[in-house]
Amino acid sequence: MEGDTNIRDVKRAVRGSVDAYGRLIEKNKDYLYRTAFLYSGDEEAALEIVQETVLKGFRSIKQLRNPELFRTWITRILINTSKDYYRHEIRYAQMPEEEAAYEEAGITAEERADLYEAIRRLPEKYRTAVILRYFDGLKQEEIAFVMGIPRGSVSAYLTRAKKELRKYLKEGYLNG
Amino acid sequence: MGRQLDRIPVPEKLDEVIGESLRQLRREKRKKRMTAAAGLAAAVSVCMAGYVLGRNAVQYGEEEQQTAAGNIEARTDEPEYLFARGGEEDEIPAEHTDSVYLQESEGITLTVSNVYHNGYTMYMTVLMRSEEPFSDSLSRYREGQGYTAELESRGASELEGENSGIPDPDIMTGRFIDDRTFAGTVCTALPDQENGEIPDQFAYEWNISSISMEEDDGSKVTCRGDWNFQVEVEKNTGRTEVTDINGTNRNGEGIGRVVKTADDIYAEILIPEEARSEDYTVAVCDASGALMNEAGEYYRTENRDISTVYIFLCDREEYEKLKSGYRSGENAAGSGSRIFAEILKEHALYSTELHFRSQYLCVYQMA
Repeated sequence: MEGDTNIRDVKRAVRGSVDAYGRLIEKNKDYLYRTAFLYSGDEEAALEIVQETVLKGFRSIKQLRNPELFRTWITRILINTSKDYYRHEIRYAQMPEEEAAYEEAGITAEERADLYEAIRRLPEKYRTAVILRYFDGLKQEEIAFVMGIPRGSVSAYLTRAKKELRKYLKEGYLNG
Repeated sequence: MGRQLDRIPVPEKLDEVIGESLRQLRREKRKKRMTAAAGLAAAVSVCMAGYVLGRNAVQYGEEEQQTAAGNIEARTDEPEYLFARGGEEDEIPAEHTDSVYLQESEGITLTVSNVYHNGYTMYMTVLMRSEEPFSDSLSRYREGQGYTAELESRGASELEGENSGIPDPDIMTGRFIDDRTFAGTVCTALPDQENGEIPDQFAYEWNISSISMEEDDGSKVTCRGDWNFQVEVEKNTGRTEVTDINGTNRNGEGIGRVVKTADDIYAEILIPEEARSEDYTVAVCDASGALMNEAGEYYRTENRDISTVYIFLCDREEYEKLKSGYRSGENAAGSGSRIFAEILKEHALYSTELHFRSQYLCVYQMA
């Protein structure tokens, strides 16, 4: 079973196996990169963030007590690393062309770029909560763990973030 | 929106980056092993050397201890006391700004003063002076009762360019000074900024086009004009206390941040993602359990015992029914009148209480 294999690899990684750790990273690499990209808005920065996250993750993996929480735990490391690499200037203008083949009905690539721009404008803690909740699909308890804050604070950040985002966007983006 | 994440293209370079990271980790692991092995070898050597030295050097131990004792620094046994810095509640607040702005239009003179913000809310004191006396039907309010006037106004600030993000002020709460003068305060919530902080000073343009007052019979008296102000809003947090409650019930309904200033209390609502804020309301009661005076989303603390403040998150519809019923005396029957806060506590979705230093203490305080 996939889940059992993951837990076995986590336990081996905790015992020091770089190979086991590498398999875990391979399964999560796209998710880590995309989250880093959402945070930084820049491909080069996102790659650096992922590189640093992979290094930091293995160096501190002995602190991971619950193997089932590996993905949440590595997300926490990635978010903390991302904070150091946040850039003010982003190149979302590139995205509409690259994603032209993937447009869905109702949401154009330009609208998606507007969404990312709006998210980028949020204060850091609200941006983190929004990315983790609406893009990574984490539950509020998981977000609280990743960000190291109480669950109630997650709710507060999401409420305030949505208020800010509504100034730029239609509500449909946050109901999906 | 989860699929939006999948739409972000992943560069081919990612594999190379991850591969390099894993290679580095393997190098670090090898280096650790070699260092550990070298360390072990060195430790064995030291132990062996120590064993040899120890057999020949027992008489030096006592001198080392005396030397060590002489080098210990004297330590004080005095305890440290940490005092929380209290607010200057007993001092009369000074004017926050010396700037006074005055505009006259259609026989009404508006004077704006005491303009400041505390990082969460912008405050402006407005004095409204009419050439003609206000209507007689407003006379009952001239005895110093609180009153709320409605405004039609638009504001703009440099905080975010043309779209300031500061809501346009739409109410002014205060009291009538005489039959021609009304003095009120305008409170406006400030939007969160990208860097998380409102600047210490910013410019604000405010245009008021009408002021409406409701009379006893429900009719409205509206004064129309064109009053334009350009004010400087300075930061003053001297008497602002912020408490993060961030508590919710099982459904995710609760109270977030509570901001208390010299004049009012504001409590932030926390609600589930799919809920509508219009369906909820906050009620704040003082230490006696009585509802405090509302000024929009703010509750005025003037002349109230705030040594204990009870804060309730309620379903808006239910709250309005309770308030209406309480004021009509529904709860005066039976075992006697009940305190409003007790009633709210039974029906609230979430409740909490806070304690502040209070200039006023009421005789009766709710247990």
